[in-house]
Amino acid sequence: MKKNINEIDLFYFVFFPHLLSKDKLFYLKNTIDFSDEISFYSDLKNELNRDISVNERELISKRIKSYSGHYEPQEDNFIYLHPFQLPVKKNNNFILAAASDTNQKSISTRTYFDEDKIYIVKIINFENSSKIFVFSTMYEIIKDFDIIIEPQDLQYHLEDNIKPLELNFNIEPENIILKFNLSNKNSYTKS
Amino acid sequence: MKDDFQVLFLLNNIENQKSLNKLIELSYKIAYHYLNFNVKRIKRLLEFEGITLKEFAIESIEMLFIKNPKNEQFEIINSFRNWQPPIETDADALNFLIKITHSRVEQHISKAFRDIDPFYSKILNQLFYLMKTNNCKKLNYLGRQYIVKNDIDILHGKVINDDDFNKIPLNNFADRKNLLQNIFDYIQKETDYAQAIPFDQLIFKLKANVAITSMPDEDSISIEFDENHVEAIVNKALEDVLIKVKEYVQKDKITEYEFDIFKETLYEIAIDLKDGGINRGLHKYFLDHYTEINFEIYKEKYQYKLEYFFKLLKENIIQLLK
Repeated sequence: MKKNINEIDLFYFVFFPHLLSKDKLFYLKNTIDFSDEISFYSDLKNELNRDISVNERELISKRIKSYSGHYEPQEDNFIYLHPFQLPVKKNNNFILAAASDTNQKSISTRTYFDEDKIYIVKIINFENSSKIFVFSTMYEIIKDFDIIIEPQDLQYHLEDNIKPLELNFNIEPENIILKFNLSNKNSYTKS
Repeated sequence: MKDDFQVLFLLNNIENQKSLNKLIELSYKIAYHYLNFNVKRIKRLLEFEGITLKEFAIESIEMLFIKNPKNEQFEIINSFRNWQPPIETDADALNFLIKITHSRVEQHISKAFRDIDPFYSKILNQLFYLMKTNNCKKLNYLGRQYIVKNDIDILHGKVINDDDFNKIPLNNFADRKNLLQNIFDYIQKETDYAQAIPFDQLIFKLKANVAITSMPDEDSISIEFDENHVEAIVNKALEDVLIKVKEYVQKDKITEYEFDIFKETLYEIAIDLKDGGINRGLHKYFLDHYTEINFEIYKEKYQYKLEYFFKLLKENIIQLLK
């Protein structure tokens, strides 16, 4: 039987087992001869069933015009924010310990804007923690939303933006995404 | 609905943006899974290009979703309509999408290797010639390309894995005119695998054993490659590039100090090209030798120059290999 198994049999076995002859189905269920090949298709099946992330959608839309041309983040309630200032690259020059200023480095801030500059996110990194403030230039109180930190894909839910999100570690996101829950019609309230 | 990918419906309704988006996402996931599965093979490419696996996957499938100017149809739809036998069921359609995506990814990998490694390119051309003269062709199996005899359309049984392929004794690769037949014979006599030679593994095997990389082609039947010959080619190619770099000093485009940096950088790149290909981004080579500057300065002042010199180096090697 081993010599009779081909690629399409393995494909059917994982995706459409009803299309496989009974003897091949029985054989493949009871052998380890093709475990690697079956694992390949099983992993693929899991991958196809996986939900695609916001970051992946954004990457696809940047590269494939037929996708990006009609893909509107607003439809899915996403607002993309990018850093206001590019991070300063580390200099390879040595700095003598005596010349370093540790106090100065203990706090750092970064600011992120969306394209229309309606939303601002300010991140303050302390020594071992961070605070993330979300503002709206429209003077709104933003309610029931998620902050997604890219590229780590860390997602946090906030009931509103009155208080900052506090984390017990530092973050330096490349991008930030705000995801609104539009099923709640009171997502935005004029303050 | 899980497991119900509706690929046939999506292919038949490509004008609908949601269908198109869904099809692109499925194709992307197939490419990503495939690259993840083969990550060892492409690690060097990712490091060189400085991109992630996800970005490489997206680049790979881009061509499928570009419209052909002749009929204003997406390439994937042209392939779908020309596919034989015709695609009529969901199973056919999913199988088609997997195969066409794998094929695109392999083409992208091959092109990327060609771009960074002139020796890979040369061996590839020689293999194509050998396949032609030995009545062989390429056949995909689980995405990967295999060399098979022309009369084989479907592979039955298992194909040889990388470990077992690498255990084939080197003497089977020595007779270059009969290279493919010797490997087929070995697989048939000594193993239980199907008559198929993994294409990329054969290239890497030939590259890794430079003494046997001389194979007949249209231009050079008798040139013998040995390690010294490869080194001589790389050295000559580098020498010619350094003449060009020196001209930059004479024209005050770079300083003597910068010339030394370029020289050391290109020398290291040339060694890596000889030893299996470059293994990181060009900027990393440069910054390793010019530690006083950061990436921003490199990008502003040196990136285009180094890319140009690297291009010259590759072109010189290709010319000398001919």
